[in-house]
Amino acid sequence: MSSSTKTERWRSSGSRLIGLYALFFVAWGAVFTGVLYWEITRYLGTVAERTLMQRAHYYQKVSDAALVAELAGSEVYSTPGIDAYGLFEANGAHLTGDLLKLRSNLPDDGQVHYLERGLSIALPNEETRSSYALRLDRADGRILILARDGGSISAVGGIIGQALFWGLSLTLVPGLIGWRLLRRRPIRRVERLQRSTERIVSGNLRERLPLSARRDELDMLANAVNTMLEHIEQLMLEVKGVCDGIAHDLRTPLTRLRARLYQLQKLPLQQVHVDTLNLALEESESIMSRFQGLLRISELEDTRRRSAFEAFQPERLLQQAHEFYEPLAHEKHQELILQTPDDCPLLQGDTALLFEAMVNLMDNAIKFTQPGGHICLRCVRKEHSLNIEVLDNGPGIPREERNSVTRRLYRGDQSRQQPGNGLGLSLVAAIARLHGFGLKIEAGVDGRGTRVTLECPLHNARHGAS
Amino acid sequence: MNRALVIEDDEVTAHAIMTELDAHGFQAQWADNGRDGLALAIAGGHDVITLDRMLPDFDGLTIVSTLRQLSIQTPVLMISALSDVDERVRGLRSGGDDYLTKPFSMIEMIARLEVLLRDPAPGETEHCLRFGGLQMNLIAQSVTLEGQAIALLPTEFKLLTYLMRNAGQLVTRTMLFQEVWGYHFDPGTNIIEVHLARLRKKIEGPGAPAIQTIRGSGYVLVDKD
Repeated sequence: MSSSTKTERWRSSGSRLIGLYALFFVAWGAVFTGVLYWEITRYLGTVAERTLMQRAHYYQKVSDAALVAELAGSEVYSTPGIDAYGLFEANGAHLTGDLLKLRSNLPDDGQVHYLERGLSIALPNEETRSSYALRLDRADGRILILARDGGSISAVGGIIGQALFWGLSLTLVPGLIGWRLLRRRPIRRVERLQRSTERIVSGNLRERLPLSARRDELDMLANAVNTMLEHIEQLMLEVKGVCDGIAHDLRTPLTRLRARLYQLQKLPLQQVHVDTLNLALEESESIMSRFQGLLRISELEDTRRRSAFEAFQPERLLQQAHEFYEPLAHEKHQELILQTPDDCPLLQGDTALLFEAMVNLMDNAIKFTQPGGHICLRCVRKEHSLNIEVLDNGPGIPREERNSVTRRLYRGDQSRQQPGNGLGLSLVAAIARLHGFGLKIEAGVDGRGTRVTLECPLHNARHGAS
Repeated sequence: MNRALVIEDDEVTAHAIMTELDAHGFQAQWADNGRDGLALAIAGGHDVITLDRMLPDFDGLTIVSTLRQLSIQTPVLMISALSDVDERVRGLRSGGDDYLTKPFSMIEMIARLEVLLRDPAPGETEHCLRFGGLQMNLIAQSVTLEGQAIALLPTEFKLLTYLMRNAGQLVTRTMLFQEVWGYHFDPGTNIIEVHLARLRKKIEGPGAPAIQTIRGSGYVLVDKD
């Protein structure tokens, strides 16, 4: 099942409810039939007992001599196989009746007992069945056993069991099917919603959540989110408009400021003034570079700009970055290693921007790694992505700072003494976002140094051009 | 004396450009709107034009493409507040020869104008460049210093080619980066300096020209003698 890569598998609440309902129904059905079975058995038991007692009372009044004849006479009318009797000598020898054996486990207390394994009945089929039995000791020492078949109770049990079976299968089977169906369909719908939100998160604020024709609670939620998105988009556009306005309004005065300072520099000045002026010019340069960095990032964040995207070979990009930075690393006595696999797939992107990102990453790596350190620039083929990594064995970025470093103008404690404007990594992050690449900042090999990874998803190469 | 036409609607910027051009021996003429600018440019007599991309009436792009349609090939340096890569591409496609983003430094502007104005360097034949004791064969990609072959890496060769083509003229860091590596952002001071330092070491020797660093501006290839 194609579940999201970010989260573990999601479960549908609807399917869980159906599953729970099915389980409850099964439990309830079992209890219901159990009680029914128990009540019926008890009732049938009492009925059997009463009949047996009646017969017993009747035979008590019959004299010993007339007993055999009386038994034969009256028991003729009883249903064969249901009612039975047996007359035995005191030593257990069979005298007359369908019951052939005297059971020793039948106590002699004038009460009806239920025997699990029945008495042997000669007729009509020779099976031992559960039965109710009563033992009567006659005054002449003979023993009379009266029995009534308990099979009807097993029959009732069977009927109820069957009813239970059918009831449960008719509940469980559709329940399970419903559970499966409900598990997949709403999840698929939610997955569609999720894909939309992912596109929205990755910068396409124009995207809206899909609505179905069902107008159910999911649609209600999606609709609410869409209204919210509309509002957010409008706010973002307003903010962007304000930013662009400020940026545009500042460009001209900044150009003028620089021009004026530059004009001043041309005048014959005293040395003190020249120095101050130079400092002022330097400051204006630094304002300018920061300002241009910020403008560039906000430009990049307008992610719909993908006109310069083309297929390119990532290993060429890395080679170029390696070649570009090798002299600088060499000068700092650092080793700059390039590792690219032979079969790099093509990626889709703006090479100029990606090179700019590489320049920023390499610049950081070389700047913060001590002389004699190693910097590795490599391309790693993963199952779903191609990872471009810049690894160094420098001081590394503390864990708690790793998320902040991509923020604009953020500078870590260690980097404050170094030249730079704190925009490099935010620029890299903006470029990665524009391309739909992941940016990860971790500790390097053995927890030392830094590893910055650009994860380039490979499906990108196919639809990125559109 | 070179004559330049400045088409720029912002008075202060225009004034600064004019002063700077003046200081570098240009005779500058100013048009504060697109209509006049286009008329002056068509009238001709300019060696180079700086053109603001956004003008109140005529768009800079329209002006430059009109000029090119009229077969007026005066070099045009487009100056724009739009730094977007797409804008640069559009500016160059419609006929601009170079593109500069506001806010820019005057040094950068003059350096770029000088390059646009450059006559073929002395000693440049179809595939040969010569400066001082250095001789470069563009087809064989070989360099000799006083007859002695020098082994250069491709990047170093490209750097030297650009410097030799513009020998004696200031070239800025971004110009070098743009020309040699083909990218349009500022990679920072250090890295280009290191590449040039390497190149410098390789072309040392008697009779060799020197690559001078002009602090805060760029580099010039000069004859030591």
